[in-house]
Amino acid sequence: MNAILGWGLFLALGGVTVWMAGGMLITMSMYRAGLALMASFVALAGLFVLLDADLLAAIQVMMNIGGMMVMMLFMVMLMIDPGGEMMWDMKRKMHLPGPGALSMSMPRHAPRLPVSAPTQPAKALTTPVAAVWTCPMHPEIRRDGPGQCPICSMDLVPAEDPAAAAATTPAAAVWTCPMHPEIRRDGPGQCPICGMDLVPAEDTAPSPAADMHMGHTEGAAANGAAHAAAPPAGDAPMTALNPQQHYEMMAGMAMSTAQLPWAGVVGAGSALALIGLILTTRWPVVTAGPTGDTTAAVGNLLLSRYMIAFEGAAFLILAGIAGAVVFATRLPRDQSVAAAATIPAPAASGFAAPPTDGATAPQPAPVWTCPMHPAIRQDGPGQCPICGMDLVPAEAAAADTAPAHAGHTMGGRGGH
Amino acid sequence: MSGISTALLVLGALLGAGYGIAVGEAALRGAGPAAVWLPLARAWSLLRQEDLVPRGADFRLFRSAPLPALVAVALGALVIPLGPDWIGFDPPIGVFYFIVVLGPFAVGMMNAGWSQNSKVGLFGTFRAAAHLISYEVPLGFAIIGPVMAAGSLSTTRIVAAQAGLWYAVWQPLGLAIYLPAALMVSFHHPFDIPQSGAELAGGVFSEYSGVRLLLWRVALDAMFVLLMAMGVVLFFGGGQGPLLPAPLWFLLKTAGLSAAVSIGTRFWPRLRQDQMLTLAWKVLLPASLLNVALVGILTLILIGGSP
Repeated sequence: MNAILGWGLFLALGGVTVWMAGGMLITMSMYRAGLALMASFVALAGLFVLLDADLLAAIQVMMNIGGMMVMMLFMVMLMIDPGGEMMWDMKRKMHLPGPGALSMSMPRHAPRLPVSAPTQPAKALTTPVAAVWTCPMHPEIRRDGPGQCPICSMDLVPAEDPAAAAATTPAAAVWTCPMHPEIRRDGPGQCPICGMDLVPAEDTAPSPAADMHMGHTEGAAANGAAHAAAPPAGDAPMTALNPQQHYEMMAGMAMSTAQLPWAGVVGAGSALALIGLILTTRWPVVTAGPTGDTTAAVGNLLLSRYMIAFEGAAFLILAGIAGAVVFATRLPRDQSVAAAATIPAPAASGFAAPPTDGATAPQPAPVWTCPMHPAIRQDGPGQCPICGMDLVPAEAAAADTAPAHAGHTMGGRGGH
Repeated sequence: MSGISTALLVLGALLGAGYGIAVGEAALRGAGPAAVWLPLARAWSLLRQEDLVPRGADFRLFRSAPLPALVAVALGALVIPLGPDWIGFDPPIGVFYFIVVLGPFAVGMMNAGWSQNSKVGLFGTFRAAAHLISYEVPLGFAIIGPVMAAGSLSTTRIVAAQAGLWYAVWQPLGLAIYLPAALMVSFHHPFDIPQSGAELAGGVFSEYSGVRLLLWRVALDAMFVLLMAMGVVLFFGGGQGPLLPAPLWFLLKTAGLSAAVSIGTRFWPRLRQDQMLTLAWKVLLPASLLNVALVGILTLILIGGSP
């Protein structure tokens, strides 16, 4: 009975150890990765307890809980979407397949979303160039066909053609909300956030949203041609990503970085070296019988192996942090990816923002505005006449639109 | 008495003491005689509340976050000896085990803040992590003093070694280091910035409601009492005393120490994270090293170097 219990405990703890280590590898969230690693090490400590190595188990638990907490702290501070919440939420809202909460890998192909209203594809076909669909609540979501918003799951509605509006009034056609200066439209309308009437903006800083529209209008035109050639189907196919585009999208959303292949090679090499080191050192208890000294021998074995594995794991973590900090570079701009990706996240995350982008290029005559009162616009720095705050360049406020919205999406989804 | 029933009894005693703490705090706030039933009324109201999970939250982590904290309290209560035979689990590394099982409490606090997917919760997560970084080293060094004097990590042997003289008498510096570290562990008042309502709108608990909030309150109060009970074990001779039976002495001492600490810290301002880290690493850590040296010398003099 005791032996059966021991075997059951051993198998359960070993299974948890391996399962959680695997979960650490496949999860998209740094926080969950830290928790999984913590759970793996705690289960390993349970194995130590089974071997009567109580003190070692206690050291294991204490050091790893503290260490993993610090690691999670660093990762949370370093990464844009450290929790993988954006990707996870998107996966949940789009009902993407995949195993449980540990796995957050995106599929190779975007899913086919069912279309309920039959009139929408017809409308899209009659106006193929203007077929830009947007979310009533999230105007930055722009798709080539009807579907659901990946953020709030609302049905997309046809957007007024921004390209036509931009073509007819190319000179001074930027409208903004008095309260939300990050809302920039090509024509009059209502603010999607607060519903106020938009007012013309004095400055002519090109908005990142308009930039996004333009890029997607090209994609929409190309897809519109494809739609015209293809027979009208009951479902609107979303663009399937090839592996390279998939990788670029993941990198753009900061789910992984361009250093992923390097990190994989370094990690696999280190793991192989560690396993080789453990295998080539002598095992002191292979030839030992069950004597009175067996416990001490097992303890010695565990200590030597444990120190190798622990230092190796610490080295791997340090290498990961060093790789994330030292070798991180901006990704090169890939226009085709930005146009083909169904989610305009690479531009929104700021990772793939090119230095030549109109939104980030320095303006010769900047307009300065108050962070709290966007109606205040002056030609130079100064203080807001209403609240006395220091004015900031209006371009910065406009360029901050996308990251601000990313944080909004990640942090305050309940606010909508 | 079997180990499991003793452990349950110890845990029940701690929870009862936690209820006493809640009553005392209500009385300190001026509730009058109503303080006796005020915690029960609050618990009942929380039980009747809807258990909300915010939209977009990591619901598994959010719903399971109180569990590591409660597990930490229950595991820590195992090694508290109410009396010579009143202990659930008496490992030879008892005190070290106690420090180790405190870790999941901070992890639970971090999970609570992280999983609710809000800004104040994330700030609370950072602050909770700062707590573990702050308390761990001073707490360990403060506990080393009684361990050195008793020559054992076992809680029962540490209590037995204080038969002649409490360690609080000749290790006051150790007690002075242990108490702030214990307050950091239990997220008690001067160090409650991760979940304080005034600073952070509830912080890591800002999205909790209903029975899970009740679980968190119970875990926090029980953790505070647990730390005070360990203080009694380490510095006030455990259950030793004249006339009364040992468990009663132990509970009386724990209640007294808890009340003294609650009243004493009541008018302190909350410490910011940087102030807490400064206190832990620039004041408590050097003081605890000094304490270890002093205790070493005094142990040689008092006990004669043969523990």
